[in-house]
Amino acid sequence: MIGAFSLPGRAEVRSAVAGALPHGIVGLVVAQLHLALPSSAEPHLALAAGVKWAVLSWIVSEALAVAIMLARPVLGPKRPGEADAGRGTLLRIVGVGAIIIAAALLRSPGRLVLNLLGFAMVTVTVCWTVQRRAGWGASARAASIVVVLAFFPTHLDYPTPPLKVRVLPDNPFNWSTGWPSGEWVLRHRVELDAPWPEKGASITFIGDREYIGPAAILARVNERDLGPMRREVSGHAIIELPADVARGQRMFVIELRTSISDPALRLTAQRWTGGATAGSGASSYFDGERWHTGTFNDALGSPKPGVYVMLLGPL
Amino acid sequence: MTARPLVEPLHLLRGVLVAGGVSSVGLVIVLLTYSRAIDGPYEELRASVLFAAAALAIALLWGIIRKIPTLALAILAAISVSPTVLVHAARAANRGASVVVRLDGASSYGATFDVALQGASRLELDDGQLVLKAPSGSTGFLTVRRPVVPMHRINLPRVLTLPDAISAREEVTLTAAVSRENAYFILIETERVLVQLTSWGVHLTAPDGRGTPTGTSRSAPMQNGESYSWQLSRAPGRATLMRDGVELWSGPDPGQLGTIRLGETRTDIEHGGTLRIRAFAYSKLVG
Repeated sequence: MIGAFSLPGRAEVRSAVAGALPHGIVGLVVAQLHLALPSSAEPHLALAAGVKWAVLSWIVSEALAVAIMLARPVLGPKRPGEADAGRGTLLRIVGVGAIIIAAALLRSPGRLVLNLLGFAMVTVTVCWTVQRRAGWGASARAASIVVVLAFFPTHLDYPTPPLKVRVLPDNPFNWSTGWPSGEWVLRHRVELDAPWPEKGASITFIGDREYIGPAAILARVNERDLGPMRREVSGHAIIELPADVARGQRMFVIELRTSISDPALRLTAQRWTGGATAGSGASSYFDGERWHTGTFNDALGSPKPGVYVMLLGPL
Repeated sequence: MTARPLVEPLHLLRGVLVAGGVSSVGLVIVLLTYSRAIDGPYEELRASVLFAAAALAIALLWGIIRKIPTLALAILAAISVSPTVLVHAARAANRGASVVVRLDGASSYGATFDVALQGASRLELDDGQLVLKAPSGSTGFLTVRRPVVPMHRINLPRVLTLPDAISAREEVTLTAAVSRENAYFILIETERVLVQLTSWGVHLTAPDGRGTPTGTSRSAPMQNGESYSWQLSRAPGRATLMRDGVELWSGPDPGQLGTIRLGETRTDIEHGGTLRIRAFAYSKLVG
């Protein structure tokens, strides 16, 4: 049994590396295509998209390999000696996978036990089923898929924020963003599942404080200037889209400028992007030279991944 | 019995050199022919080339490990770098493309302009022309709708797909007759440039070399109510105003034209009149 945890041989490593390389190519090609898109030209986001596609490509190819191995007993007999191949690899994959998942979840103790228990139950079931039908090699590949799928969402969890969060520059959940210069533009994209109905729309951006000053927020929706937004005492900025502008639209691209730059004029942004229809790429800003995905916390002088807080509803 | 390798080592080396060399040359050409207007910010193109180079290296490594034939290796290497090379080539090939907003018939003005009328101002269609009447004390103007470029058009130069690309060239062409009621009538107003017609010609306000708005008058005799062709254009470095092909003014680039308005945006008693538009076009081109 101890021998099962011995280091993999050179040929095994070489084979594993050779097997993973094509998925690296897939990821890097996707990253290049991502960079070519006019709306999303952030190198680190392109690379992140490439990594996701590489992982997806690997999962699909491994799943196909396992499916073929599972089908083989039906299609024909196994090759001699194949049944025992990969037993040590299976144990290594499961063991190392459990350690990695546990390490990734250390910051969320509440999830740690639950995830490891779930991981163990799924892995044992999958490996036992696959091993009985297609041998240790197929079982090891199935286990590696389970490890990746179990590890992937671990970074998506954040500790639960307090129910009432104040908007502060150094708050990791909610902060405010403004227009540091006259050329600055805030942009938010809303993607709809169905065309907007035969009625107008109301767009509200949540302000972080009361604003009484000379600056106005100028709205442009789908390349159409709609003039200054209405300000409420609470600081919220509202623009109403006439029915002829909103009707039939499947996407609203909202661009906000200011008539003059005023540091006191601010809108709320937040880290949680699950509520945005376009996800983490929904919000962006133009700094006078180029567009950046996410938001900019000008109080801290640094970009912050997240979205502007806004509401879209019928008139 | 030993298995015979798929490709002899010498052939494999030749394949790696050929496939890697050709693809690398493609990437070098992309870097050497970089243009901000075509490719956007340099950091983005550099990242794309780096990704392509990494994909190429991985493809060659995989080819060596698997000992794949030269042709297959060449195809794999080409695929690895193709997004960067092909997108750059497609954008460069379309460097003459433009994004245009044109008034196609007066009755379809709604597709070209947003109309703002206040007070006694009116917009009428008369004999196939768009007539904007903005008497003194009222504002009446047309705001040009910005051209919409589909986000997925990766074959267009980046400068045309970004709404605020400073390296773009912009042209506003207007054929119109102006009947002034008073001293001034606003023909074209952009974010930083104001073109007004006066009794002696044209009064133009635009940023000087230091960015300070500065008024300039040009003598250009005009018949009240007679039609002329105007062209306001800007490109990185320079802006010009022409009437019937004759340059009336040129100055430093004021930056993006931004919101473009035609007609009276002022209510003071010095302004007011009628604008009769025969033709209008706004073009955004590679600078």
